[in-house]
Formats: sequence, C-alpha cells, structure tokens
Amino acid sequence: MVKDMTDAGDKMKDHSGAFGGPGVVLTKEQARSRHQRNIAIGATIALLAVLFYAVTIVKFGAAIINRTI
Amino acid sequence: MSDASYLHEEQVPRISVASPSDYFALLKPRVMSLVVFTALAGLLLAPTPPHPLIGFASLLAIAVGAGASGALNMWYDADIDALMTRTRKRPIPAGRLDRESALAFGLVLAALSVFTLGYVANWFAAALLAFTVFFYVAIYTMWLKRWTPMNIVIGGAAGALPPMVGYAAATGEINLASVVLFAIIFIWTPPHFWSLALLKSEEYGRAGVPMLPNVAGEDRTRLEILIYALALAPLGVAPWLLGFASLAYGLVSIGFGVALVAAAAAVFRKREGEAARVAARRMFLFSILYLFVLFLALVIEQTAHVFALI
Repeated sequence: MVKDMTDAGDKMKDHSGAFGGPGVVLTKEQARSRHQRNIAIGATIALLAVLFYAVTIVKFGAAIINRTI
Repeated sequence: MSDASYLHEEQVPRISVASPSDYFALLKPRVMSLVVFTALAGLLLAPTPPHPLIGFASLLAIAVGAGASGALNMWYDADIDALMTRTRKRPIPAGRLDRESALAFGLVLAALSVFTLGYVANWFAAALLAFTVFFYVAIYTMWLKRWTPMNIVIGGAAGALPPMVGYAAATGEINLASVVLFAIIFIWTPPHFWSLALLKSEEYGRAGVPMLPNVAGEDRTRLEILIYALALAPLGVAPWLLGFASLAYGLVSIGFGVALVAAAAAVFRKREGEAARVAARRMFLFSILYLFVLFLALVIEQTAHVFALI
C-alpha cells in the first residue's frame, strides 16, 4: 500500500500518466498560453489585494491610527 | 495536440490555447469603456463626491460587471455570433476559447464585481449592478433578443443603468438627475442599433435575430429611428433644463440634438441604394458621437465642480 503510494508520487514527479503512459505533454503553444494566463491571473489577484487593502485603509479613515497604546 | 495517445479520443483533455487577450475580448472592451464613461457621469453628479480611490474602485467594479455581462452574452450567443461577419471573429466562434470557459469567466467576474462594489461603495449600488447584469444576460440575451423586434427597446435598459449605478455608488440612492441620464441612454439605444440593423439586416436575418428591419420592414424602421431621434433631442437638453447641467451643456446638447434629428431625417428620406446605406451608416456613427459628447460635457463640468469644492 505504502509502496503503491510512493510509486504514484514518483509518477507525478516525472509527469508520467496512468498505466505508464507519457501523460499530458503540452505543446509549445499550449504551454505559452497557459504561462501567459497564469501571469495575468497572478497580476490580477495581486492588484485586487492591493486595491482591497487600500480601500480598507481609506474606509477606516483617520480612525485607523486612533487606538490605545 | 497533447501527447496523450494512450487515451481514447473523448478522454483527451481539452487544453486551452486562449491567451489573456482572448479573455479580455470577452469583456467587450468598447462597450465597457462606454459604461465606465456613463457611470463616471452618474458618479460625478453626487453632491459630495466620494474619495477618489473609492470612486475609482467603484468604476472598476462597474466596468468588470459590464465585462461579465459581455462574457455571458458571448457564451450564450456563440451560435449566432458565428453566423455574422461583425461577430464571427470573437474568441468563441473563432475557436480560440470554449463556451464553458467563457461561462465560468463571466460568472466569476459577475460575482466578483457585485461583491467588490458592495464592499467599496454600498450594497444598494451592488444590487443595482447585479440587476443590470441579470437584465442584460437573462432578459435581453436569453429572452428578448431572439424573440421580439422590441429586443433593443426593452433590453436597452441594461445599457442605460450604469449612470444610476454610478450615482448610487457615490450616494447610496438614486435621484432625478441619474434617472434622466438613464432615460437619455434608454431612448438613444433603439435608433443607434436600428441604424446598424438597416446596414446588417441580411446578417441578422441569417442569424434568426428578429431585428425591426427584418420583421416590420425598412420603411417602418426608418420612421421609428426618426421618432426616437425627435424624442431624444429634447431629452438630451433636459439636464440643463432641470438645472443639473450648465448653459454650455445646454447649447452643446441643442446643437448635437439638431444634428442627430437631421441625420435621422436623412435616413428617413433616403431609402434606396448607396445613399440609403451612407445615411444609415452616418446615423449609426453620429449617434455614438452624440452620446459621447453629451456625457463628456457632463463629465467635464462636473469634474470642474468637484475641483471647485476642493
């Protein structure tokens, strides 16, 4: 059982598919477009995080520094 | 294709080659820019303008909501988009993106935009934005567009709502001024799209979309364009008459209103051959300029008003 799981892990590492097949190997075009999409999603999420942070600060206003020490 | 020869054909995973620009195209960027512009006009009408960052984030959320509507429209209308030259290069009919991805993209963006507007502005504006997306996708795209030649008349409400959403984002309510801006876009929409329909009636017919020229004939369409232009011209002056725009806006709206009626009258008079096509094309393009100039005038003077407050 443990050996089976270890084998499965090794398969994932070398990108092998089920039944010892070659797995899904992306073409250059597929890899490039996926890479571009990943960058776009990452940039969008980063911008959203910054936007929400900034909006939160603005909504708090001056009260954000008004706290007991 | 992927090297997955050990799989049966139906098991081979469909791996997208869509680029970020294909997803961006789903948002209908040109429509989105008009939505941002009209929403900005509504937002600037607020007696007390919001903090610039809140205003910016609100407009961004409204823009993304409009983009989500566009993506969901392209998801549903992929079949008829493939039949028309104007739309066949869109990402789905062109084969660069599958429908399921467009649906998922549109739903995620719709939820994100509504939540964002609710958080940064208020939940009344967010509800209005959600209604706008629902109206455009469910009422216009899924129901009216393929069913009645009045599709543009009723469906135009979705495109007319952004100024009200913008005002609601800034104030948490709607007022007469924002309703007037809604009415201007609402009455502007039919003559704008019917001018296009006159030029593309053959394509709409092939796609089975019951536009007015295909159902009621071109002569009736020309008459309707003229009637709507005659209604729109005085309505465009209303912001000045009602006191929320300056005399400068009033003069601009009168001048462009007269020119719009003249363009509509040319469409009504010239019914044959190349002259008719030129008149319809001129009306279509001028209607875009008309709406742009009216809202630009409002944005400029409201911006000046905001700076005067500072």
